[in-house]
Amino acid sequence: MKRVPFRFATIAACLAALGLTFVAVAATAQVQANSVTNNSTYDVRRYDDGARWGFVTDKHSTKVAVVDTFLPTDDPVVDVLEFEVVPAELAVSEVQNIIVYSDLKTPILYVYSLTSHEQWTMQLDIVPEALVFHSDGATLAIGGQDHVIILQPLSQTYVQELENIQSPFTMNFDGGGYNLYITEHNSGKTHIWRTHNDTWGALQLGNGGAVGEITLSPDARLAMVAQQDENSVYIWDLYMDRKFDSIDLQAPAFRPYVSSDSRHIILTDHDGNGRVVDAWTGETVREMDLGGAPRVVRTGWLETIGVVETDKHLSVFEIQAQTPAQTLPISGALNEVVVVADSKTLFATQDGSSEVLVMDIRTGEARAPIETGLKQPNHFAMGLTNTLCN
Amino acid sequence: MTVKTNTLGLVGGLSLLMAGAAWAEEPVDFYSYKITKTWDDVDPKIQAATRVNSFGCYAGCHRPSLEGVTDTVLPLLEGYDAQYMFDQWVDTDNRRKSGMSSEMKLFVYNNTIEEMEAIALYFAGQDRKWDPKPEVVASDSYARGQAIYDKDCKICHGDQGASEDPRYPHIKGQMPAYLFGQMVAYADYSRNTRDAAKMVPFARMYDEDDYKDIVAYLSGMFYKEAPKGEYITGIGMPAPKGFKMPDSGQIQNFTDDFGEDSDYIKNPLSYTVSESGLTTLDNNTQLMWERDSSRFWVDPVEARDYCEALELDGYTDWRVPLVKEAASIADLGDFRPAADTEAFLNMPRGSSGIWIFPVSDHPDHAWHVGFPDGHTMGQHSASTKLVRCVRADGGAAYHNNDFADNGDGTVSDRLTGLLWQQNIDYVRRNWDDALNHCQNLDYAGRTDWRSPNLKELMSIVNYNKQAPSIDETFFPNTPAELFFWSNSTHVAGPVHGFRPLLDRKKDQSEELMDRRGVHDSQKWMVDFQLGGAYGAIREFQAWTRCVTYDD
Repeated sequence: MKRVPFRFATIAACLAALGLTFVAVAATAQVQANSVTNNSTYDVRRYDDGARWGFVTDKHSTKVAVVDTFLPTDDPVVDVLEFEVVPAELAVSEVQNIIVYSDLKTPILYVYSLTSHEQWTMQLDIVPEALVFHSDGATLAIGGQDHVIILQPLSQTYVQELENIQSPFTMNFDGGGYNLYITEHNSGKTHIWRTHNDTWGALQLGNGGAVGEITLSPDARLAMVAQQDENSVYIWDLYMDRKFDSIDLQAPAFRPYVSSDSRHIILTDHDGNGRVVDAWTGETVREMDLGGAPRVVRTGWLETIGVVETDKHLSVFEIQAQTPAQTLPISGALNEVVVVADSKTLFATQDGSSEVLVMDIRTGEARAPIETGLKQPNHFAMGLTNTLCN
Repeated sequence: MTVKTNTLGLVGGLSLLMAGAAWAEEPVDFYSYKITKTWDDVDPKIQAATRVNSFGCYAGCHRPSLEGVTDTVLPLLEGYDAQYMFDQWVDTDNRRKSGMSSEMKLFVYNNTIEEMEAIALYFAGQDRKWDPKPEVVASDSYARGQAIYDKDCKICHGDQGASEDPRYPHIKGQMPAYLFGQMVAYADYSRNTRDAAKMVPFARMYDEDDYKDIVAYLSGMFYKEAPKGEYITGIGMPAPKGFKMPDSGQIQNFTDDFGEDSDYIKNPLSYTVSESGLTTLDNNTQLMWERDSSRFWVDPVEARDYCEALELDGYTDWRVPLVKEAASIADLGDFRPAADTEAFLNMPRGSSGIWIFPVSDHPDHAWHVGFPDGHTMGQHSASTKLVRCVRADGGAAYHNNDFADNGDGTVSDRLTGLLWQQNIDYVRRNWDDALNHCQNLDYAGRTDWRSPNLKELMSIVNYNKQAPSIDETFFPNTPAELFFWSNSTHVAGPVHGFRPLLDRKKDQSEELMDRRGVHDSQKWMVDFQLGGAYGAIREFQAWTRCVTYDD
C-alpha cells in the first residue's frame, strides 16, 4: 500500500469522519498502458524482435519453425518459413532483421528477410562455412576455405576479401566491432583485422600447436583456446597485449566458455571435469565432476548459473557456490543449446526428436517441450540471447 | 572500404549507468585534490577493483592504447601523469568544455575520490603505444609538424611529446582527432581550465593546417575530419497544433512514497498507425514518425540526407528528430527497447540509438536517444547511429517552449501546460528526499508541487544553448554543474546489461507492476550543462526543481 502524502491523508481522514470516501488521484490513475490504434492493413508477419523469435531449422528440409520464446501459449510455434535450401549454417541480424544461411555445399550466401519475407542470394567464390555478424548487424564475415569475405547482405554490397588465412579457422568480432579475430586451428596463429581502417595485427594463441575454436570473452578482453596437444587452455589478455594465463586440466580441454558478464571462465575436459575460473584474477572459483563427457557450456540467470551438456545429462550448477550440481537426463545429443534473454529459459534441439527441449535453469526443471513439426530440429538461432559469448 | 563502428554498442551502453559506489556523501573538493600516493601505496584489494573499473573506460568509449584502434576522437588514457589525468577528469563537469569533455560529466560522479585516484594512478603506470604509420613518417606533413613542434612545443612537452614533466601532459602517440580538437579548443578559448593559458598563445600562433602537421608528428597518424554538415536547429519552429505533453509511460510502482512518476498519469502514450503501416502518429505530440527505424548505421550527415529524401504516406517533409521529440517517444515503463514496439518497428533490443539534433557544445557534437533504456546523450559525428525520421504539419516541431513568468516565483509553459518552480533552493538531495521535498513544498501559494517526470524535466531544456542549457530569463541561476532529479525510475535497474529482459509492459503481471525493492535503485536525472538524461543511483545528491499542472 503506497503511503498517501500528509495533505491527502489529512483530507481523507476528515472525509472519512464525515462518512465519505476519499480516493487519492494516484489510486485511480494506476496502470494505464499505452494505446495503439493500428489502421494498417498491410502488416505482415514480422519477426524483428531478436530476443523473442527463435528460428529452428530442420536437418533434412528447407522448413524453419518460428518459435515464440516468450512461451505465451502451449503451442509457441507461430509460423513455418520456407527457405531455398536446407540451412546448415545460419546467423540472425537483430538490427537488419535478416537470416543469412549456407547449405555448406554451394558458394552462395542465402538471405531471408524477417520483415518482408523476401529472399535473395549473393554469389561467392567460396562455400560459406562460418557466418558471423559484426555488432552493427549489417556487416557479415563469411569464413570459407582459406578466406574470409566481408559483405553487407541487406544492401548486397561486397566489402572486402581477406586472404592469407589457413583453414580450418574460427573468427569472432569483438563486442564494439573494432576487430575481427581469425584463429587458425593448426597453429593458433591469430589474424586481427581492424575493421575501421583495414589494417592488420597478429597474435599467437597457444604454443604453436593445434588449438580449438577461439573464445572471446563478451567484453572482448580475453581470447582463449584449448591447446589440442596439451591438457590446457591458453588465455591472452587482448587489452594488455600479454598472456593472461595457461590453465592445466586433467584431460584434453573442450572449447572454453566465458559467462555473459565476462567474470567467469568455465573450463571442461574430456574426462568430465569442470572448473570455474575468475576471469580477472585467474583464481579457481570451484571445481566439479560433471559426471559425463561435456559438449556444450552455457550460463544464465544473470550469470549465477552454469549449464553443461554432457553425453548423459544436462548439469546445472551455481557458478560461485560449492553446491552440488543438479542433473536433467537427456535422451539424445543436443544439437544447439540456447539460454534466451530472460536469462533463465534454456531451449535445445535434440537428436532423434522433433521437439525442442525447454528448461528453467533456475529450478533445473524441464518445461513442456515444443513440438516443432520438423523431422529433425537442428539449429536454434536468435538475434539476441543471454549468451553473448562466441 | 572499411566498416563503420557504432561506438555505443551493447557493451558501451552498459557504462551509461552510474554503477553504484557513487557519491552519496556531501561534495568533496575534487577540484583541488592532490594525489600523494603511488600505485604501490594502493591497497591490493583496491588495486584489483581498479583494474576492473579501469576496464570500464575501455568498455565504454576509450580504446586501449595497445590495441591500436585509431578512429576515435576520445583520448587514450595510458601514460598521463596521474594528477594531470585526475584534474582533467574532475573538470569535465562544466569546467573543461573542449571537444567531447562534457560526455564525461556523468562519470565524475561514478566513483569515489579514492577510486578516481586509483584509476588515475593505474593508467599513469600503463604505457602508451607508439606505432607511427610509415607513410605518415615519410610525409611532408610529418616533417613540417616536427619543425613546428621542435621550435615551440618541445621545450615543455619534451621530445616528440614524450613529456616526463608532470606539469606538461604526455602527448606522444595520442589519438590524432583528440590532439587536433584540443589545439582548436585552446585557440578558440573553449579549453580554459587549469594551465590552459599557457597553451593558448601557442595554439593561436598556428592554423588548422599546422595542427594537422603537428598531429602527424605526435601521433604518427594523419588527422581524419569527422563528417561535417548543417543540421536543423529547431529555432523558431512552431509547436504542433494540438500538442499535449505525453506521459513517460512509466506505470509501475517503485517506492512507498507518493510522488513518483506513476502517481501522475495524465496523457498516456497513444499512437495511431497509418493504413500503410509505414507511419505512426503520436496522438499527444501530433508528431508523425517513420514507423521503422533504419536498418543501417549512418553518420549524422547521412541521417539528414536520408530523411530529406524520404517519402512516406505522401509526405516529403521528413527530417531528423530534435532532442525532445525523440525523447517524447521513449516509454520509460519498458526497456530494451524503451519504446512501444507496436507503434515503432525495428527497435533493436541490443543497440538502438537514433540521431537527434541540434548540435550541442561542439560542431561535431550532436545527440542520440538510446532506446535500450531511453537515455539522451551527446554523440560525436564521427560515429554512427540509426535514424528514424519525423515530421509535423506546418513545419512544426516539439522544441521551443512558450514560457510566461507569472511574477510570483513560478513559470508557466503554455506549450506543456506545466507550472514550474522558478527559484530552486540549491539544496542537494537524494532521490527520495527530492520526491518528498516537492510533495511537501509550500511555494508561491501552492502546495500541489511534485517532482517532474523525465520528459517534463527535459521539456524545459533549451538545446540551443549550454551551461546552463535553459532559458535563464525564466530560470535564472540554474546550476550547470551536477544534475536535477526527475521522479522517474530507470526500470532497467542496475542489472548488468539491462537484464533480464522482462515481459513487455502491456503483458506484465500485477506482480511486475509493483517493483518496490526490485529494479528500483536507479532513477533518471537531467543535466543542465547540455541537457543529457541519465540514470543514477537514488542516493546520488542532485538538485530539485518542482512542477505542477498549470490548471
